[in-house]
Amino acid sequence: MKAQRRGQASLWIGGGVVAVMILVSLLTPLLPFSDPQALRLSEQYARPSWTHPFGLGENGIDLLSQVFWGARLSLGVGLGSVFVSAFVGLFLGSWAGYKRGRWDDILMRLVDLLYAFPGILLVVALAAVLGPSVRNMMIVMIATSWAGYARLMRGVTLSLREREYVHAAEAQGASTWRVLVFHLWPNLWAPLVVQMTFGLGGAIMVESSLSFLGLGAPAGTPSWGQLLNQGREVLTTASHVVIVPGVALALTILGLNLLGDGLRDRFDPKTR
Amino acid sequence: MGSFIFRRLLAAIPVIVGVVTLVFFLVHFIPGDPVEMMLGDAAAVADKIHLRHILGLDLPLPQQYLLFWKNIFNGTWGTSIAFSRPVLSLILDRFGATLLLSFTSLVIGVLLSFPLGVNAARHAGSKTDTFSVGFSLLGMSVPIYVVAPVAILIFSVNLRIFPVAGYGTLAHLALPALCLGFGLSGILTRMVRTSMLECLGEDYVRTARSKGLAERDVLFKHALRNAMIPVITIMGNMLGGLLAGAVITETLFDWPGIGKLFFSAFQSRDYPLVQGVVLWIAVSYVLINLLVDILYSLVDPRVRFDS
Repeated sequence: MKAQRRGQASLWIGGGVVAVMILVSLLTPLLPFSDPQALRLSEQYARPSWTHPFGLGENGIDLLSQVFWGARLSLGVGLGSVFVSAFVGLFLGSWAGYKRGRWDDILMRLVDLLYAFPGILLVVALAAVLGPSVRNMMIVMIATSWAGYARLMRGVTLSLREREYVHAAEAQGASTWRVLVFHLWPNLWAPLVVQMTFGLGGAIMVESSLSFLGLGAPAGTPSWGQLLNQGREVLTTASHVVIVPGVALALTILGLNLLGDGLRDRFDPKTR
Repeated sequence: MGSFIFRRLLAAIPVIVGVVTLVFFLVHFIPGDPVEMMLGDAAAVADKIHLRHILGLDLPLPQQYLLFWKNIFNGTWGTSIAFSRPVLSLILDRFGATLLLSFTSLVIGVLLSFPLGVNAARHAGSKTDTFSVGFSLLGMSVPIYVVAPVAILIFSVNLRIFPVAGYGTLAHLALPALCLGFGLSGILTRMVRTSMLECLGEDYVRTARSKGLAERDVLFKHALRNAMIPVITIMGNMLGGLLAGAVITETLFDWPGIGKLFFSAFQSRDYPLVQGVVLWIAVSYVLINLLVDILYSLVDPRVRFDS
Protein backbone atom coordinates (compact mmCIF):
# COMPACT_ATOMS: atom_id res chain seq x y z
CA MET A 1 0.00 0.00 0.00
CA LYS A 2 2.79 2.37 1.01
CA ALA A 3 4.72 1.42 -2.12
CA GLN A 4 1.64 2.19 -4.19
CA ARG A 5 1.30 5.60 -2.54
CA ARG A 6 4.97 6.26 -3.16
CA GLY A 7 4.52 5.31 -6.83
CA GLN A 8 1.61 7.76 -7.09
CA ALA A 9 3.66 10.50 -5.42
CA SER A 10 6.56 9.83 -7.82
CA LEU A 11 4.22 10.10 -10.76
CA TRP A 12 2.65 13.37 -9.65
CA ILE A 13 5.79 15.12 -8.37
CA GLY A 14 7.91 13.97 -11.32
CA GLY A 15 5.13 14.73 -13.79
CA GLY A 16 4.67 18.17 -12.23
CA VAL A 17 8.38 19.07 -12.42
CA VAL A 18 8.62 17.85 -16.02
CA ALA A 19 5.42 19.68 -17.02
CA VAL A 20 6.74 22.93 -15.51
CA MET A 21 10.06 22.48 -17.34
CA ILE A 22 8.33 21.84 -20.66
CA LEU A 23 6.01 24.80 -20.14
CA VAL A 24 8.94 27.03 -19.23
CA SER A 25 10.91 26.02 -22.30
CA LEU A 26 7.88 26.61 -24.55
CA LEU A 27 7.01 30.00 -23.04
CA THR A 28 10.55 31.39 -22.62
CA PRO A 29 10.46 33.48 -25.84
CA LEU A 30 7.21 35.09 -24.68
CA LEU A 31 8.37 35.88 -21.13
CA PRO A 32 9.82 39.31 -20.33
CA PHE A 33 13.40 38.15 -19.81
CA SER A 34 16.38 40.23 -20.78
CA ASP A 35 18.36 39.15 -23.83
CA PRO A 36 20.39 36.08 -22.70
CA GLN A 37 23.36 37.30 -24.77
CA ALA A 38 23.30 40.90 -23.44
CA LEU A 39 26.66 41.78 -21.87
CA ARG A 40 27.18 43.89 -18.74
CA LEU A 41 30.96 43.85 -18.53
CA SER A 42 31.19 46.15 -15.52
CA GLU A 43 28.88 43.87 -13.52
CA GLN A 44 30.54 40.53 -14.43
CA TYR A 45 29.76 37.76 -11.90
CA ALA A 46 27.53 40.06 -9.79
CA ARG A 47 25.70 38.16 -7.05
CA PRO A 48 21.88 37.64 -7.14
CA SER A 49 19.90 40.85 -6.66
CA TRP A 50 16.35 42.18 -7.24
CA THR A 51 17.17 43.16 -10.81
CA HIS A 52 18.98 39.87 -11.55
CA PRO A 53 17.49 37.23 -9.19
CA PHE A 54 19.96 34.48 -10.26
CA GLY A 55 22.93 36.84 -10.54
CA LEU A 56 25.21 37.50 -13.49
CA GLY A 57 27.74 35.25 -15.18
CA GLU A 58 30.74 35.64 -17.47
CA ASN A 59 30.76 39.07 -19.18
CA GLY A 60 27.67 39.96 -17.14
CA ILE A 61 25.16 37.64 -18.86
CA ASP A 62 21.88 37.32 -16.92
CA LEU A 63 21.74 33.83 -15.38
CA LEU A 64 17.92 33.80 -15.02
CA SER A 65 17.52 34.35 -18.72
CA GLN A 66 20.35 31.92 -19.52
CA VAL A 67 18.85 29.15 -17.35
CA PHE A 68 15.42 29.50 -18.98
CA TRP A 69 16.87 29.54 -22.51
CA GLY A 70 19.17 26.67 -21.47
CA ALA A 71 16.09 24.65 -20.43
CA ARG A 72 14.73 25.18 -23.93
CA LEU A 73 17.93 23.83 -25.46
CA SER A 74 18.22 20.85 -23.07
CA LEU A 75 14.62 19.77 -23.43
CA GLY A 76 14.51 20.47 -27.16
CA VAL A 77 17.65 18.44 -27.89
CA GLY A 78 16.64 15.77 -25.36
CA LEU A 79 13.07 15.32 -26.64
CA GLY A 80 14.14 15.40 -30.29
CA SER A 81 16.86 12.79 -29.87
CA VAL A 82 14.74 10.58 -27.59
CA PHE A 83 11.79 10.50 -30.02
CA VAL A 84 13.97 9.67 -33.02
CA SER A 85 16.03 7.04 -31.11
CA ALA A 86 12.87 5.48 -29.68
CA PHE A 87 11.24 5.26 -33.10
CA VAL A 88 14.36 3.75 -34.69
CA GLY A 89 14.66 1.31 -31.77
CA LEU A 90 10.96 0.40 -31.92
CA PHE A 91 11.09 -0.15 -35.67
CA LEU A 92 14.33 -2.17 -35.79
CA GLY A 93 13.92 -4.01 -32.47
CA SER A 94 10.34 -5.17 -33.05
CA TRP A 95 11.08 -6.17 -36.64
CA ALA A 96 14.20 -8.15 -35.64
CA GLY A 97 12.40 -9.78 -32.69
CA TYR A 98 9.44 -10.76 -34.83
CA LYS A 99 11.28 -11.95 -37.95
CA ARG A 100 14.35 -13.44 -36.17
CA GLY A 101 16.96 -15.00 -38.46
CA ARG A 102 19.96 -13.38 -40.14
CA TRP A 103 18.84 -9.72 -39.83
CA ASP A 104 18.18 -10.22 -36.14
CA ASP A 105 21.72 -11.59 -35.71
CA ILE A 106 23.23 -8.66 -37.63
CA LEU A 107 21.25 -6.11 -35.60
CA MET A 108 22.22 -7.69 -32.30
CA ARG A 109 25.92 -7.82 -33.24
CA LEU A 110 25.68 -4.11 -34.11
CA VAL A 111 24.09 -3.43 -30.73
CA ASP A 112 26.84 -5.49 -29.04
CA LEU A 113 29.44 -3.40 -30.87
CA LEU A 114 27.92 -0.19 -29.49
CA TYR A 115 27.75 -1.71 -26.01
CA ALA A 116 31.36 -2.93 -26.17
CA PHE A 117 32.59 0.56 -25.46
CA PRO A 118 31.74 3.01 -22.66
CA GLY A 119 28.90 5.25 -23.87
CA ILE A 120 30.35 8.60 -22.82
CA LEU A 121 33.63 7.99 -24.67
CA LEU A 122 31.78 7.08 -27.87
CA VAL A 123 29.71 10.23 -27.46
CA VAL A 124 32.84 12.35 -26.94
CA ALA A 125 34.58 10.71 -29.94
CA LEU A 126 31.62 11.25 -32.29
CA ALA A 127 31.04 14.80 -31.07
CA ALA A 128 34.71 15.64 -31.64
CA VAL A 129 34.47 14.30 -35.19
CA LEU A 130 31.31 16.18 -36.08
CA GLY A 131 32.18 19.46 -34.34
CA PRO A 132 30.14 21.55 -31.92
CA SER A 133 26.61 22.35 -33.11
CA VAL A 134 23.09 21.61 -31.87
CA ARG A 135 22.29 19.46 -34.91
CA ASN A 136 25.50 17.42 -34.52
CA MET A 137 24.80 16.95 -30.83
CA MET A 138 21.44 15.41 -31.71
CA ILE A 139 23.04 13.16 -34.33
CA VAL A 140 25.55 11.94 -31.73
CA MET A 141 22.82 11.29 -29.17
CA ILE A 142 20.64 9.37 -31.64
CA ALA A 143 23.59 7.37 -32.98
CA THR A 144 24.56 6.22 -29.51
CA SER A 145 21.15 5.69 -27.88
CA TRP A 146 18.95 3.90 -30.46
CA ALA A 147 20.61 0.57 -29.57
CA GLY A 148 19.18 0.61 -26.02
CA TYR A 149 15.63 0.99 -27.34
CA ALA A 150 16.20 -1.64 -30.05
CA ARG A 151 17.44 -4.17 -27.50
CA LEU A 152 14.46 -3.55 -25.21
CA MET A 153 11.89 -3.66 -28.02
CA ARG A 154 13.42 -6.84 -29.43
CA GLY A 155 13.29 -8.52 -26.02
CA VAL A 156 9.63 -7.65 -25.42
CA THR A 157 8.69 -8.63 -29.00
CA LEU A 158 10.36 -12.03 -28.56
CA SER A 159 7.90 -12.85 -25.78
CA LEU A 160 4.88 -11.23 -27.49
CA ARG A 161 5.34 -13.03 -30.82
CA GLU A 162 4.35 -16.32 -29.18
CA ARG A 163 1.02 -14.94 -27.89
CA GLU A 164 -2.21 -16.38 -29.27
CA TYR A 165 -3.48 -13.11 -30.74
CA VAL A 166 -0.33 -12.88 -32.86
CA HIS A 167 -0.74 -16.46 -34.07
CA ALA A 168 -4.43 -15.72 -34.80
CA ALA A 169 -3.49 -12.68 -36.90
CA GLU A 170 -0.89 -14.74 -38.78
CA ALA A 171 -3.45 -17.51 -39.39
CA GLN A 172 -5.76 -14.91 -40.95
CA GLY A 173 -3.01 -14.06 -43.38
CA ALA A 174 -1.89 -10.72 -41.85
CA SER A 175 1.32 -9.36 -43.38
CA THR A 176 4.46 -8.75 -41.31
CA TRP A 177 3.72 -5.00 -41.21
CA ARG A 178 0.14 -5.53 -40.19
CA VAL A 179 1.19 -7.80 -37.31
CA LEU A 180 3.85 -5.32 -36.23
CA VAL A 181 1.82 -2.12 -36.47
CA PHE A 182 -1.61 -3.32 -35.33
CA HIS A 183 -0.83 -6.22 -33.00
CA LEU A 184 2.67 -5.78 -31.54
CA TRP A 185 3.27 -2.03 -31.36
CA PRO A 186 0.20 -1.27 -29.23
CA ASN A 187 1.63 -3.68 -26.65
CA LEU A 188 5.12 -2.19 -26.81
CA TRP A 189 4.28 1.38 -25.98
CA ALA A 190 4.20 0.97 -22.18
CA PRO A 191 7.84 -0.22 -21.78
CA LEU A 192 8.83 2.23 -24.53
CA VAL A 193 7.35 5.24 -22.72
CA VAL A 194 9.06 4.25 -19.45
CA GLN A 195 12.38 3.83 -21.24
CA MET A 196 11.88 7.18 -23.03
CA THR A 197 11.31 8.99 -19.74
CA PHE A 198 14.58 7.67 -18.29
CA GLY A 199 16.18 8.21 -21.71
CA LEU A 200 15.20 11.88 -21.68
CA GLY A 201 17.02 12.34 -18.35
CA GLY A 202 20.05 10.59 -19.84
CA ALA A 203 19.87 12.70 -23.00
CA ILE A 204 19.79 15.93 -20.98
CA MET A 205 22.82 14.71 -19.02
CA VAL A 206 24.67 13.91 -22.27
CA GLU A 207 23.76 17.31 -23.73
CA SER A 208 25.07 19.17 -20.71
CA SER A 209 28.17 16.91 -20.51
CA LEU A 210 29.04 17.69 -24.13
CA SER A 211 28.42 21.41 -23.65
CA PHE A 212 30.47 21.25 -20.44
CA LEU A 213 33.39 19.74 -22.39
CA GLY A 214 33.00 22.31 -25.17
CA LEU A 215 31.77 19.71 -27.68
CA GLY A 216 28.05 20.51 -27.54
CA ALA A 217 26.24 23.72 -28.33
CA PRO A 218 28.42 26.38 -30.05
CA ALA A 219 30.00 28.95 -27.72
CA GLY A 220 27.53 31.64 -26.73
CA THR A 221 24.42 29.45 -26.97
CA PRO A 222 22.61 29.48 -23.61
CA SER A 223 23.29 26.03 -22.17
CA TRP A 224 23.43 24.61 -18.65
CA GLY A 225 26.60 22.65 -19.44
CA GLN A 226 28.41 25.74 -20.70
CA LEU A 227 27.33 27.74 -17.65
CA LEU A 228 28.65 24.97 -15.37
CA ASN A 229 31.96 25.04 -17.20
CA GLN A 230 32.21 28.84 -16.89
CA GLY A 231 31.30 28.61 -13.21
CA ARG A 232 34.07 26.09 -12.53
CA GLU A 233 36.66 28.78 -13.26
CA VAL A 234 35.19 31.21 -10.70
CA LEU A 235 33.97 28.70 -8.14
CA THR A 236 35.58 30.44 -5.19
CA THR A 237 34.49 33.98 -6.07
CA ALA A 238 31.11 33.49 -7.80
CA SER A 239 29.67 30.14 -6.75
CA HIS A 240 26.17 31.11 -7.97
CA VAL A 241 27.35 30.60 -11.58
CA VAL A 242 27.67 26.87 -10.80
CA ILE A 243 24.83 26.51 -8.31
CA VAL A 244 22.06 28.04 -10.47
CA PRO A 245 22.44 25.81 -13.58
CA GLY A 246 23.42 22.87 -11.35
CA VAL A 247 20.15 23.05 -9.43
CA ALA A 248 18.15 23.45 -12.66
CA LEU A 249 19.84 20.41 -14.19
CA ALA A 250 19.54 18.24 -11.09
CA LEU A 251 15.85 19.19 -10.61
CA THR A 252 14.99 18.32 -14.20
CA ILE A 253 16.72 14.95 -14.10
CA LEU A 254 15.26 14.21 -10.66
CA GLY A 255 11.79 15.03 -12.02
CA LEU A 256 12.30 12.75 -15.02
CA ASN A 257 13.58 9.90 -12.85
CA LEU A 258 10.58 10.28 -10.51
CA LEU A 259 8.21 10.31 -13.47
CA GLY A 260 9.92 7.24 -14.94
CA ASP A 261 9.61 5.41 -11.61
CA GLY A 262 5.95 6.36 -11.31
CA LEU A 263 5.15 5.29 -14.87
CA ARG A 264 6.96 1.99 -14.42
CA ASP A 265 5.02 1.30 -11.23
CA ARG A 266 1.79 2.14 -13.04
CA PHE A 267 2.51 -0.07 -16.04
CA ASP A 268 4.32 -2.93 -14.30
CA PRO A 269 3.40 -3.17 -10.60
CA LYS A 270 5.68 -6.21 -10.14
CA THR A 271 8.78 -3.99 -10.31
CA ARG A 272 7.63 -1.81 -7.44
CA MET B 1 35.66 -23.17 -17.18
CA GLY B 2 38.91 -23.03 -19.20
CA SER B 3 37.14 -23.66 -22.48
CA PHE B 4 34.45 -21.10 -21.56
CA ILE B 5 37.10 -18.40 -21.00
CA PHE B 6 38.82 -19.36 -24.26
CA ARG B 7 35.54 -19.22 -26.23
CA ARG B 8 34.64 -15.85 -24.70
CA LEU B 9 38.05 -14.38 -25.53
CA LEU B 10 37.78 -15.69 -29.07
CA ALA B 11 34.31 -14.20 -29.47
CA ALA B 12 35.61 -10.85 -28.18
CA ILE B 13 38.23 -10.50 -30.93
CA PRO B 14 35.83 -9.40 -33.72
CA VAL B 15 34.15 -6.93 -31.33
CA ILE B 16 37.50 -5.38 -30.35
CA VAL B 17 38.68 -5.23 -33.98
CA GLY B 18 35.30 -3.70 -34.94
CA VAL B 19 35.45 -0.96 -32.29
CA VAL B 20 39.09 -0.11 -33.06
CA THR B 21 38.44 -0.02 -36.83
CA LEU B 22 35.39 2.19 -36.33
CA VAL B 23 37.35 4.66 -34.21
CA PHE B 24 40.38 4.54 -36.56
CA PHE B 25 38.29 5.82 -39.46
CA LEU B 26 36.25 8.17 -37.26
CA VAL B 27 39.32 9.87 -35.88
CA HIS B 28 40.66 10.57 -39.37
CA PHE B 29 37.50 12.48 -40.20
CA ILE B 30 37.98 14.96 -37.33
CA PRO B 31 38.34 18.42 -38.85
CA GLY B 32 41.86 19.82 -38.33
CA ASP B 33 45.36 18.70 -39.11
CA PRO B 34 47.61 17.46 -36.26
CA VAL B 35 50.74 18.66 -38.12
CA GLU B 36 49.38 22.20 -38.41
CA MET B 37 48.36 22.07 -34.77
CA MET B 38 51.92 21.10 -33.78
CA LEU B 39 53.85 23.46 -36.04
CA GLY B 40 51.35 26.33 -36.30
CA ASP B 41 49.95 28.05 -39.39
CA ALA B 42 53.14 30.02 -40.00
CA ALA B 43 55.39 26.92 -40.43
CA ALA B 44 57.09 26.34 -43.77
CA VAL B 45 55.32 23.96 -46.15
CA ALA B 46 58.50 21.84 -46.41
CA ASP B 47 58.57 21.38 -42.64
CA LYS B 48 54.93 20.30 -42.65
CA ILE B 49 55.56 17.76 -45.44
CA HIS B 50 58.61 16.43 -43.62
CA LEU B 51 56.76 15.98 -40.32
CA ARG B 52 53.77 14.41 -42.09
CA HIS B 53 56.18 11.92 -43.65
CA ILE B 54 57.87 11.13 -40.31
CA LEU B 55 54.50 10.50 -38.69
CA GLY B 56 53.34 8.34 -41.60
CA LEU B 57 50.39 10.67 -42.23
CA ASP B 58 51.25 10.96 -45.93
CA LEU B 59 50.44 7.28 -46.47
CA PRO B 60 47.05 6.22 -47.86
CA LEU B 61 44.51 5.51 -45.11
CA PRO B 62 44.39 1.70 -45.59
CA GLN B 63 48.19 1.61 -45.28
CA GLN B 64 48.04 3.72 -42.09
CA TYR B 65 45.50 1.23 -40.78
CA LEU B 66 47.82 -1.72 -41.43
CA LEU B 67 50.71 0.21 -39.88
CA PHE B 68 48.59 0.71 -36.76
CA TRP B 69 48.10 -3.05 -36.31
CA LYS B 70 51.80 -3.66 -37.06
CA ASN B 71 52.67 -1.26 -34.23
CA ILE B 72 50.28 -3.09 -31.90
CA PHE B 73 52.12 -6.34 -32.51
CA ASN B 74 55.60 -4.82 -32.11
CA GLY B 75 54.65 -3.71 -28.61
CA THR B 76 54.94 0.09 -28.96
CA TRP B 77 51.35 0.70 -30.11
CA GLY B 78 52.77 3.50 -32.27
CA THR B 79 54.23 6.85 -31.27
CA SER B 80 52.12 9.66 -29.87
CA ILE B 81 52.22 12.79 -32.05
CA ALA B 82 51.80 15.21 -29.15
CA PHE B 83 54.07 13.48 -26.60
CA SER B 84 56.62 11.90 -29.00
CA ARG B 85 56.56 8.76 -26.86
CA PRO B 86 55.39 5.17 -27.41
CA VAL B 87 51.63 5.05 -26.92
CA LEU B 88 51.67 1.94 -24.73
CA SER B 89 54.08 3.46 -22.22
CA LEU B 90 51.90 6.61 -22.03
CA ILE B 91 48.81 4.50 -21.36
CA LEU B 92 50.59 2.41 -18.73
CA ASP B 93 51.79 5.62 -17.02
CA ARG B 94 48.22 6.90 -16.73
CA PHE B 95 46.47 3.62 -16.01
CA GLY B 96 47.69 3.49 -12.39
CA ALA B 97 45.89 6.75 -11.59
CA THR B 98 42.69 5.54 -13.25
CA LEU B 99 42.88 2.17 -11.48
CA LEU B 100 43.32 3.87 -8.10
CA LEU B 101 40.40 6.25 -8.65
CA SER B 102 38.16 3.50 -10.07
CA PHE B 103 38.62 1.03 -7.24
CA THR B 104 38.41 3.65 -4.49
CA SER B 105 35.18 5.12 -5.87
CA LEU B 106 33.66 1.67 -6.40
CA VAL B 107 34.54 0.70 -2.80
CA ILE B 108 32.93 3.93 -1.56
CA GLY B 109 29.87 3.20 -3.71
CA VAL B 110 29.58 -0.33 -2.29
CA LEU B 111 30.12 0.81 1.31
CA LEU B 112 27.33 3.38 0.97
CA SER B 113 24.87 1.35 -1.06
CA PHE B 114 24.92 -2.12 0.49
CA PRO B 115 23.85 -1.16 4.03
CA LEU B 116 21.29 1.29 2.62
CA GLY B 117 19.87 -1.13 0.05
CA VAL B 118 19.72 -4.17 2.38
CA ASN B 119 18.14 -2.15 5.19
CA ALA B 120 15.62 -0.58 2.85
CA ALA B 121 14.53 -3.99 1.55
CA ARG B 122 14.36 -5.42 5.05
CA HIS B 123 12.14 -2.58 6.25
CA ALA B 124 10.25 -1.94 3.00
CA GLY B 125 7.86 0.99 3.30
CA SER B 126 9.58 2.37 6.44
CA LYS B 127 11.34 5.71 6.85
CA THR B 128 14.69 3.95 6.27
CA ASP B 129 13.32 2.71 2.95
CA THR B 130 12.09 6.19 1.96
CA PHE B 131 15.48 7.65 2.87
CA SER B 132 17.38 5.11 0.81
CA VAL B 133 15.06 5.56 -2.18
CA GLY B 134 15.55 9.34 -1.92
CA PHE B 135 19.31 8.95 -1.58
CA SER B 136 19.47 6.67 -4.59
CA LEU B 137 17.36 9.07 -6.69
CA LEU B 138 19.63 11.95 -5.72
CA GLY B 139 22.77 9.96 -6.58
CA MET B 140 21.33 9.07 -9.97
CA SER B 141 20.02 12.54 -10.76
CA VAL B 142 22.86 14.88 -9.83
CA PRO B 143 25.64 14.65 -12.40
CA ILE B 144 29.30 14.67 -11.38
CA TYR B 145 29.90 18.15 -12.81
CA VAL B 146 27.31 19.48 -10.36
CA VAL B 147 28.37 17.35 -7.36
CA ALA B 148 32.08 18.06 -7.83
CA PRO B 149 32.00 21.89 -7.78
CA VAL B 150 29.67 21.85 -4.76
CA ALA B 151 31.98 19.36 -2.97
CA ILE B 152 35.02 21.49 -3.85
CA LEU B 153 33.23 24.55 -2.50
CA ILE B 154 32.37 22.84 0.79
CA PHE B 155 35.38 20.60 1.48
CA SER B 156 38.20 22.47 -0.24
CA VAL B 157 37.27 26.15 -0.17
CA ASN B 158 35.27 26.50 3.06
CA LEU B 159 36.43 23.64 5.30
CA ARG B 160 39.90 23.33 3.68
CA ILE B 161 40.00 19.56 4.29
CA PHE B 162 40.95 18.40 0.79
CA PRO B 163 42.95 20.01 -2.02
CA VAL B 164 40.91 21.41 -4.94
CA ALA B 165 42.61 19.25 -7.58
CA GLY B 166 45.79 17.34 -8.36
CA TYR B 167 47.34 13.95 -7.84
CA GLY B 168 49.86 12.32 -5.54
CA THR B 169 48.49 12.02 -2.02
CA LEU B 170 45.55 10.37 -0.30
CA ALA B 171 44.02 13.82 0.23
CA HIS B 172 44.04 14.41 -3.54
CA LEU B 173 42.22 11.10 -4.08
CA ALA B 174 39.48 11.70 -1.49
CA LEU B 175 37.30 14.28 -3.22
CA PRO B 176 37.15 12.80 -6.77
CA ALA B 177 36.60 9.33 -5.31
CA LEU B 178 33.84 10.55 -2.97
CA CYS B 179 32.07 12.42 -5.78
CA LEU B 180 32.28 9.45 -8.16
CA GLY B 181 31.36 7.02 -5.37
CA PHE B 182 28.27 9.08 -4.52
CA GLY B 183 27.02 8.78 -8.11
CA LEU B 184 27.72 5.04 -8.22
CA SER B 185 26.01 4.47 -4.89
CA GLY B 186 22.76 5.93 -6.26
CA ILE B 187 22.40 3.20 -8.89
CA LEU B 188 23.82 0.48 -6.64
CA THR B 189 21.46 1.26 -3.74
CA ARG B 190 18.49 0.92 -6.07
CA MET B 191 19.79 -2.36 -7.50
CA VAL B 192 20.57 -3.88 -4.08
CA ARG B 193 17.16 -2.84 -2.73
CA THR B 194 15.18 -4.17 -5.70
CA SER B 195 17.13 -7.40 -5.89
CA MET B 196 16.93 -7.99 -2.12
CA LEU B 197 13.17 -7.29 -2.10
CA GLU B 198 12.72 -9.95 -4.74
CA CYS B 199 14.85 -12.51 -2.88
CA LEU B 200 13.26 -11.84 0.50
CA GLY B 201 9.91 -12.88 -0.98
CA GLU B 202 11.24 -16.24 -2.22
CA ASP B 203 10.30 -19.61 -0.73
CA TYR B 204 13.85 -20.48 0.34
CA VAL B 205 13.98 -17.39 2.55
CA ARG B 206 10.66 -18.35 4.14
CA THR B 207 12.05 -21.87 4.67
CA ALA B 208 15.25 -20.52 6.22
CA ARG B 209 13.23 -18.34 8.60
CA SER B 210 10.86 -21.18 9.52
CA LYS B 211 13.87 -23.36 10.34
CA GLY B 212 14.71 -20.76 12.96
CA LEU B 213 17.87 -19.39 11.35
CA ALA B 214 19.20 -16.15 12.77
CA GLU B 215 17.93 -13.13 10.76
CA ARG B 216 21.52 -12.14 10.00
CA ASP B 217 22.16 -15.52 8.37
CA VAL B 218 18.90 -15.33 6.43
CA LEU B 219 19.79 -11.88 5.15
CA PHE B 220 23.44 -12.33 4.33
CA LYS B 221 23.88 -16.06 3.63
CA HIS B 222 20.61 -16.70 1.80
CA ALA B 223 19.04 -13.53 0.43
CA LEU B 224 22.02 -11.24 -0.25
CA ARG B 225 24.07 -13.92 -1.95
CA ASN B 226 21.28 -14.61 -4.42
CA ALA B 227 20.54 -10.93 -4.81
CA MET B 228 24.12 -10.32 -5.89
CA ILE B 229 23.80 -11.56 -9.50
CA PRO B 230 22.20 -8.42 -11.03
CA VAL B 231 24.26 -6.23 -8.70
CA ILE B 232 27.50 -7.82 -9.90
CA THR B 233 26.48 -7.18 -13.51
CA ILE B 234 25.94 -3.50 -12.77
CA MET B 235 29.20 -3.30 -10.80
CA GLY B 236 31.02 -4.90 -13.72
CA ASN B 237 29.58 -2.33 -16.12
CA MET B 238 30.52 0.43 -13.70
CA LEU B 239 34.08 -0.80 -13.30
CA GLY B 240 34.43 -1.18 -17.07
CA GLY B 241 33.25 2.41 -17.50
CA LEU B 242 35.51 3.67 -14.71
CA LEU B 243 38.60 1.91 -16.04
CA ALA B 244 37.92 3.55 -19.39
CA GLY B 245 38.50 6.76 -17.51
CA ALA B 246 35.99 9.12 -16.04
CA VAL B 247 36.56 11.88 -18.61
CA ILE B 248 34.69 14.62 -16.76
CA THR B 249 35.88 13.72 -13.24
CA GLU B 250 39.48 13.47 -14.36
CA THR B 251 39.21 16.79 -16.20
CA LEU B 252 37.50 18.49 -13.24
CA PHE B 253 40.03 17.31 -10.66
CA ASP B 254 43.05 17.44 -12.97
CA TRP B 255 43.51 13.70 -12.39
CA PRO B 256 46.14 12.28 -14.76
CA GLY B 257 44.16 9.21 -15.87
CA ILE B 258 43.09 7.45 -19.06
CA GLY B 259 39.94 9.58 -19.51
CA LYS B 260 41.88 12.85 -19.49
CA LEU B 261 44.48 11.34 -21.82
CA PHE B 262 41.73 10.25 -24.25
CA PHE B 263 40.14 13.70 -24.23
CA SER B 264 43.39 15.58 -24.74
CA ALA B 265 44.44 13.11 -27.48
CA PHE B 266 41.17 13.84 -29.28
CA GLN B 267 41.59 17.59 -28.88
CA SER B 268 45.13 17.51 -30.32
CA ARG B 269 44.17 15.07 -33.12
CA ASP B 270 46.81 12.67 -31.80
CA TYR B 271 45.65 9.75 -33.99
CA PRO B 272 47.98 7.01 -32.69
CA LEU B 273 47.21 7.89 -29.07
CA VAL B 274 43.43 7.94 -29.63
CA GLN B 275 43.57 4.55 -31.34
CA GLY B 276 45.81 3.09 -28.63
CA VAL B 277 43.56 4.30 -25.82
CA VAL B 278 40.47 2.97 -27.61
CA LEU B 279 42.09 -0.45 -28.02
CA TRP B 280 43.09 -0.45 -24.35
CA ILE B 281 39.57 0.49 -23.25
CA ALA B 282 37.91 -2.11 -25.49
CA VAL B 283 40.20 -4.87 -24.17
CA SER B 284 39.65 -3.84 -20.53
CA TYR B 285 35.90 -3.77 -21.10
CA VAL B 286 35.91 -7.30 -22.51
CA LEU B 287 38.09 -8.61 -19.68
CA ILE B 288 35.91 -7.02 -17.01
CA ASN B 289 32.79 -8.56 -18.55
CA LEU B 290 34.50 -11.95 -18.60
CA LEU B 291 35.49 -11.52 -14.96
CA VAL B 292 31.87 -10.70 -14.11
CA ASP B 293 30.71 -13.94 -15.78
CA ILE B 294 33.26 -15.94 -13.80
CA LEU B 295 32.15 -14.23 -10.58
CA TYR B 296 28.58 -15.35 -11.27
CA SER B 297 29.54 -18.98 -10.78
CA LEU B 298 31.32 -18.20 -7.52
CA VAL B 299 28.34 -16.30 -6.10
CA ASP B 300 25.66 -18.63 -7.48
CA PRO B 301 26.78 -22.25 -7.92
CA ARG B 302 23.69 -22.90 -10.11
CA VAL B 303 25.44 -20.95 -12.88
CA ARG B 304 27.38 -23.42 -15.01
CA PHE B 305 29.39 -22.68 -18.12
CA ASP B 306 29.42 -26.10 -19.75
CA SER B 307 25.74 -26.11 -20.72
